[in-house]
Amino acid sequence: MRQLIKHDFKESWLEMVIANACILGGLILLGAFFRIMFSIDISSESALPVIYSYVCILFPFIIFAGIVLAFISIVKNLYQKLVGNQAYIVYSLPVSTDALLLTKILVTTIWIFSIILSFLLGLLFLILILGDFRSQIEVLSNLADLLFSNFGAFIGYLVTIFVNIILLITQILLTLAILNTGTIRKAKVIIGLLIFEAIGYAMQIVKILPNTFSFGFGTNGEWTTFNSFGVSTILLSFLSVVNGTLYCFNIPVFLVNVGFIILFYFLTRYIINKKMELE
Amino acid sequence: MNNQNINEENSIIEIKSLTKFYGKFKALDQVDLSFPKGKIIGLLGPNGSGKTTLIKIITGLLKQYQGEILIDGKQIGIDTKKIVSYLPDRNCLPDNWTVEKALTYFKTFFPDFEYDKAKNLISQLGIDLSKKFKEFSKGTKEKLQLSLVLSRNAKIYVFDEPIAGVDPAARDLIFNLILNNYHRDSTIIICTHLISEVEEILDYAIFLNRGKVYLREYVDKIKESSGKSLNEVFKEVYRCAPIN
Repeated sequence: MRQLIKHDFKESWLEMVIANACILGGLILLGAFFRIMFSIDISSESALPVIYSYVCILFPFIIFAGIVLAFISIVKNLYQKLVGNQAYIVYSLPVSTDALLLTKILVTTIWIFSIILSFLLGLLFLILILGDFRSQIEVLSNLADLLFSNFGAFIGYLVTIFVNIILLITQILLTLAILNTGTIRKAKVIIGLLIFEAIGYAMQIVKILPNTFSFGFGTNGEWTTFNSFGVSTILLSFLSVVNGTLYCFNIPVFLVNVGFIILFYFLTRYIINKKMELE
Repeated sequence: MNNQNINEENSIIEIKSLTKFYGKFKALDQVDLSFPKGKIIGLLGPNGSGKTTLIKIITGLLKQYQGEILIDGKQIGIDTKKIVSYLPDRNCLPDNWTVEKALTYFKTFFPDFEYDKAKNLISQLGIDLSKKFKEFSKGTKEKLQLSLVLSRNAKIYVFDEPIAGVDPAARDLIFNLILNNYHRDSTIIICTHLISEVEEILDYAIFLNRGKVYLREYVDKIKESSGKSLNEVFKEVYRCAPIN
């Protein structure tokens, strides 16, 4: 499995480094640009408003391109290795299905975390560049104090993000496994997207109940409950506008998500072991 | 001619009552087969006869079937993948890989892979190790994949249409590569519909048609009893047999 992980990292590092550089660099450059522009009187230079408009579009575009590149790179890698021609060699390797799936989950999780980290770091630099350095440091120090005083809430957020990332990856893996059952022979990409969406909607329906009877830890680490049950609440839950309570760690939703991860993983494993029909 | 004298001790692959459906289409129909050990076996038949389906089941790429398959006495799984070296009917190595990277990949994941042997084979073909797969023609990619597959010290080599889509000169080269580089106590299964091209190198022939075994016999015996070449027998068989 160690070799599989090493290989998967080597296969995808270049695209992911470029994507991370686009996000981090784009945010830093955007901050630097605004900083320069704020110190110049735009109205005195006729060409500056035009440059200003272009750059205002360019940097967010670079950031967006980085996010898209990361997403495409992750999905393309998984698709090629599990459904495309490369699958012929991947499934001929003398390795277990578990090793194969766990490697994909681990490597993809790390890459997605790196993207989130780059985005947050970029935002941090943007704030530091834009404002008065001393006052920004003070703001950040207060933020850090707040974070550590509600360390439980911070961990709750991290766990929630982590679980959601793994859920997304297992959802993609299940979709790709279904594409390999031999029932879909044409327009695999489009049908794959539809299957992915269908799984997502099915999850939302199942999540109505846990969203309705929510309890867990709030943003300040306090114990929070919300359990008013009614048609309107169900409808709101379905539309993902859950309720007024802001959770950093919603226990029923967390448990349901973990349940989905386990279900998707074992379904994917079962399909690969028992139902695979590589074309 | 539909007989064979392979007992279980002499066989490397045992197939019993193998049936495979694609929807309502029966691709393999109650196939019973034994593949003799240490021989070059031709899995022959026209397009759609079930050759590739059988190969994919043996290599573990198709999982939905009825019947039983034992490879070297084991059910299909990690253990059988360790002893089967498989050349698919398509290029399965990514175009952005260099030859060197493909060599490293095989060395990493197949413990029986002989790196130096592969490097020598590829050098003999005059291929630059630093070049990427996308820079090569279809024939060269075919030869490269074949070199990698042959450099495994496997008990069974499975070649799915190794000569389809390459020119006659390249076909000779491919056969020479196979004959000069496989391990003598290993079994080779060549799946093809180009009988005249493989006739000379085969020890044993299995004719498939519409998912059924039409004929299985040592090539010498087929020639001896029919007084014809394998290609002529093939043409005769498939002229009489209903083809899909």
